[in-house]
Amino acid sequence: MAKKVLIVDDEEDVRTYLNSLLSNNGYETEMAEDGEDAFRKVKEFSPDLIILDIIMPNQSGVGFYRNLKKSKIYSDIPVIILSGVTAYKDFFARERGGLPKPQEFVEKPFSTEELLSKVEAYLR
Amino acid sequence: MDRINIDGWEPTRNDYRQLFQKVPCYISVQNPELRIIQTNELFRQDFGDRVGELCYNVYKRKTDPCPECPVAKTFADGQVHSSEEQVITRDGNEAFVIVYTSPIRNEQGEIVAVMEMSTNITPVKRLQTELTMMGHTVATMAHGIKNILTGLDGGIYVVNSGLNNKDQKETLKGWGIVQRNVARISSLVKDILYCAKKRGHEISVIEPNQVVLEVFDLFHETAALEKIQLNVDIDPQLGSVQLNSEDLHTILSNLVHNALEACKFDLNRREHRVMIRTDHKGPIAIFEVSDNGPGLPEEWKSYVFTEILSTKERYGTGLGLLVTKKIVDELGGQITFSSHPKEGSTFRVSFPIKSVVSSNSSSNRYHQSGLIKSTTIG
Repeated sequence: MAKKVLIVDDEEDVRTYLNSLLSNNGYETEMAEDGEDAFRKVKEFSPDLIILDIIMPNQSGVGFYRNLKKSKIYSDIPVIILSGVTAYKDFFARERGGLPKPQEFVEKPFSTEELLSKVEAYLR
Repeated sequence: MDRINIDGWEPTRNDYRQLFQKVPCYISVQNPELRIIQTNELFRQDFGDRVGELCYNVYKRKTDPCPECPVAKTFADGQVHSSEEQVITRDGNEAFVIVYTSPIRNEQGEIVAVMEMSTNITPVKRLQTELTMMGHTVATMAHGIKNILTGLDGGIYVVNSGLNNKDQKETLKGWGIVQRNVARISSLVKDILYCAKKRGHEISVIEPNQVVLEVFDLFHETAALEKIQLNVDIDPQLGSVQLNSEDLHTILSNLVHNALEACKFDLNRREHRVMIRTDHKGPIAIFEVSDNGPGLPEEWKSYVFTEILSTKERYGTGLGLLVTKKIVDELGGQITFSSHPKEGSTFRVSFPIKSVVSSNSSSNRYHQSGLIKSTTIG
């Protein structure tokens, strides 16, 4: 059975890109455009992995990540942060506010090989 | 050796007095109370003839001495002290100065006064601020370019995927992504060039209300498509003014574009509206663009006109407000804003009216509305 990946990015072009990339590599995907939407999709879709953008309207990636990690049911879902703002790499590395570190940080623009190898590492 | 002798010339008391008066920095001599007892020409030119007054009152319009007063320190230890200070000149302008102090002793070696020499470094400070801003701008621009590159990578990948899968729909989708991101680069480059170049503005007598209606016409269809209500509220008493109509058009278009973008991506509210308004107060022409979008994030407020900002930076270059501010400044106007979270933002541009010709139109305010939003944005 295909592993499930939730793509969270407010930019439709990036969602389309990731959706195409992951589907072509045998993953089942679902997409969300902000943190609030993402939490709904987590409940409905039960992903095995989340790829998360940070700067988004309504609820940002940081807000979503905080809620996810506080949740008793979903806190174990691995998260790959995908952002163009490298400062967030340090932000998460410092375990701000007692938050556990995300599994990976991938900087935009990214290479497909790099992202796929990191996805594969968690869904093997 | 502290002096070279020149044949036939021995500095006199008068020469030293001339040097004190003409040296291109502010000099004041102060007594232990920090009261000014002597000043030089440049000091008097920028601060007035203030002998007898307290230093901190003259330089800073304060009622108490500065906590780290270098003059007081020199009185205490007889050493030279320096500090960087912000002062206010007689015409109310703020200036940055570097201050050096030196003791003046009597024949017994006692410190009877302190000489304070201040060099005006305001132009250097301004340059420093501009360089810092440029650094921020370049960093933010690089971030914007990263997003565009991600979009282009994505577009190319989806086109290739569509071609490999012989899926024309997917190919076209990818091609759309490529096109959108190429348009973003083009827009970014145009805005950067506009920001970098100093332009002349041909001023003529224009009808600003007419420009507002042109901007309304330009955007009302876009607004309707996004189900945002675009309105104009025209002050008929605002007659002709001396401005550049193309510049006013650019200013208002940028502000309306931003307002529509803010509403478009605001999911907190079902009905959105953007209002373009004209007004006049005495000799000032006022143009306002307000929206009921999400408002500006609090942390952005201090940087609105100095850095590249956008609530949806991926959809615009974020340079619009920098361009707008640049044009307004070059035309001698002012731009301000007020913004409240979840209530929206209002940007107000004002220009001094150099020539007002009273309008023949009705004295009632003129309103025009775009399409009323009937459904929520998805």
